[in-house]
Amino acid sequence: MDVQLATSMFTNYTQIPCYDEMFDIDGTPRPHYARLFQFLSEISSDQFEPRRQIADMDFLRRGITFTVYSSEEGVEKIFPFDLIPRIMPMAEWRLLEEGLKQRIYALNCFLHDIYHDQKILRDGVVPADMVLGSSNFRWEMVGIEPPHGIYIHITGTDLIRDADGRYCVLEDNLRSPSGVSYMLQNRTIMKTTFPALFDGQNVLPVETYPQELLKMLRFVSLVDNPQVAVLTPGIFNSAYFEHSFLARSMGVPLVEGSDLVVRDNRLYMRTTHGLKQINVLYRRVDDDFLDPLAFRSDSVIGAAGLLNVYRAGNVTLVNAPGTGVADDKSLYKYVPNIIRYYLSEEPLLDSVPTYLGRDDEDRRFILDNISELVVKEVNNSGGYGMLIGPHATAKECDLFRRKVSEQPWNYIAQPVIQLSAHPTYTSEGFAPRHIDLRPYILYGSEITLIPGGLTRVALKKGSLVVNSSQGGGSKDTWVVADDEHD
Amino acid sequence: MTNTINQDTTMLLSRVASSCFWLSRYRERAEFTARLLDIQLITLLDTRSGSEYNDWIPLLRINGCLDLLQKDGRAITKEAVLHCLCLDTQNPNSIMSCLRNARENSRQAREQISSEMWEQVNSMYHDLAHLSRSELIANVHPTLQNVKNGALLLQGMADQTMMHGEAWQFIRLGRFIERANTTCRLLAVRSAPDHNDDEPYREAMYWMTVLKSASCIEAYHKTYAAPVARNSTIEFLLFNPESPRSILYCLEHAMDALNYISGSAGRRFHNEADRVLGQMATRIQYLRLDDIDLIQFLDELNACLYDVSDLVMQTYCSYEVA
Repeated sequence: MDVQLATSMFTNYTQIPCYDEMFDIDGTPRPHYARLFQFLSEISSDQFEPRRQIADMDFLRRGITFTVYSSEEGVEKIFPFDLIPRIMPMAEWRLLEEGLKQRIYALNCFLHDIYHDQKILRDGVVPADMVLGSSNFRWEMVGIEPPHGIYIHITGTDLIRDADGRYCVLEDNLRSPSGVSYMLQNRTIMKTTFPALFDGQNVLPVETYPQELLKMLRFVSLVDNPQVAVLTPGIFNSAYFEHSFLARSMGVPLVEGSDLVVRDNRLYMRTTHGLKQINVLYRRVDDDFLDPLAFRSDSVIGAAGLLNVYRAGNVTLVNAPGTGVADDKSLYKYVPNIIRYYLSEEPLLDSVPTYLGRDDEDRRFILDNISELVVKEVNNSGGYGMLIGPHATAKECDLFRRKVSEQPWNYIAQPVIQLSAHPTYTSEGFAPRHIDLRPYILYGSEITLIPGGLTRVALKKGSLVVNSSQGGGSKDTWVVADDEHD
Repeated sequence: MTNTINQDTTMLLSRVASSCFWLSRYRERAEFTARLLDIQLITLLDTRSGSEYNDWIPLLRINGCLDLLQKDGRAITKEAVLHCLCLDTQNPNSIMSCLRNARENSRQAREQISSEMWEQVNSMYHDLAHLSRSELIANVHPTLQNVKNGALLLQGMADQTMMHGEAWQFIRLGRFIERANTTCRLLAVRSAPDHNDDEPYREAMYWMTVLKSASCIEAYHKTYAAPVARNSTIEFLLFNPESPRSILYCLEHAMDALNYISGSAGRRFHNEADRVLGQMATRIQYLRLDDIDLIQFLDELNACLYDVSDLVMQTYCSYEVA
């Protein structure tokens, strides 16, 4: 079939210096993208644009929105969705899967160790002051044995690809990672807006995630046939849609702090017929707000006494409190050694080279090379509190130099990784935009991954920041079985 | 492998029960307000009194927004009334306020209501929220028609896509309590003593409008096969056992929902909400129009419905935990 280049939205597609997911260096579509490329080359923007609008309306109608409180009546916005799917061949996915299982297993061993014997600290593999001095180390968790020894039931690891196409872990996200509902909703909306895209593609389904989640939540209970509930901060939380979606898909109640009551070291919820005990709480509330008696006393979105219920073994919290200590940005540097320490194996997934402000030699390197580096605050996320050296002004670099000198332990730096790029719909046709990948990993009777994930895309030209708070959007993510591309 | 059925599918969070009740009340109120306004606009084409003030006062009384409109010192014009009843978020009973509240409550009850229902209430909210005052005035009838049909569709979805368990019973309870309430207000305002028309045809028109506002003029014709008149209209709206718009029907069905929720099977009351509503429902079953002072009776009924609503909340939602 002739590719109608005159009207193709790929006409002005110019590769940028990084790994392009769809095209190899000569501009030939990679085998697993051949069919998609063919389809998209034959479509005009007059055909594409209405579908994009339908997809946007669909998100709005389903209420998959977040609210911007700038006016009296809050303005509801949708997270931008790009209709061109990201495709991963099965073989590539298998490698990621093995690497992530290894990493999550080791991080869980690490958490168990630091809240019990602290062997790894005594052996000097990880600096003790970094762990014990972290604001995310929860002394309340020391000596507590979580059911089945599992701390990180749900992980959403952020991965990127470097210029050679190598996958690297960027962040581990061990505390209530969000976005999994987008993985599912993006797929649903893709199927209704662009069914033809799926023709002849063997895309592995993601729909069973909520069932897998429920299976895990039931497994980690200490009682038979447990009452499971999802705890949300409430309807004003930007992830409320996700919380209600997951509760609904599992058929379990979605509770708020005001529904919870602690009596006799047990957790209850208020129902129309009195109090009913909860055995497993999938909490989407941060540690700090979980229990005003144990953590922040001004919290009204948790339950007073909840941590005591947990310590008494009368409720399973998912994820366990105190996991944040294992995903802070300075600990990240030690994860490869953590894997070697507990598993006596080499890490399967690469990490990004990391320089620690707290380390004298690293700090000198950071200060000398700040304009070439990405500098991040150890305990910040969402793309806030960071400096991208090559994109920053001299004044901004000076500011961060001062910050790093004044609070060295609070900063890390990494070389700028040119994230891989993916064709994305823009006002000028298809253009390369940087992307990352967040698969979701469940840790129950075994560690499992749903084949897919959330691909976030930096919609601004040249931007390397994919966070939704910084103008990022998302894409449907396909893992395709290999046999279709022989 | 068979799965064990979750023994507690009937388990309902108090907060969610309250949201089901209120989303349903606001849905019913939005539907009623849209119909009331639509009918009045059409009626006025035939029976204008020559004073916009007089034309609109009863409607504003029924909706409860007369003070709000007068407080601002605005002239009571058709445009002002349309805005106040449809879009004004200052008016807690405007269609916009009702849809917003129905939607916020639906969001709270998201785990219980079906996705179809949520998408319907969400779409209705966005449709109206994006409507400007001038667009409304240019398209009043289609807009009101959309609200009425959309609200009925939402009701149908509740009946056909939800489990008919306790959450659904709270929705049913809210619908019938609210409908009894609005019908009560409609009757109270429309049968006020200051209404008196010498012209027989105007009198008939007047009560036809009342029946249309309650969406039951055709049912009335079928029942009486006689010209529309004051007493039979009031009798129909209060006592007809088969019209889903009559107060008797509403109270009986509200009672049925309450009995399901309390598990009392209607033999004997289990709590104050059961008792207060049951007493009124039973009383109205055996009343004739001749037995009552209408205005006084409607006052009592109104007070009873407020009490029941409060008692339901106290019994099932905001109870003290020992």
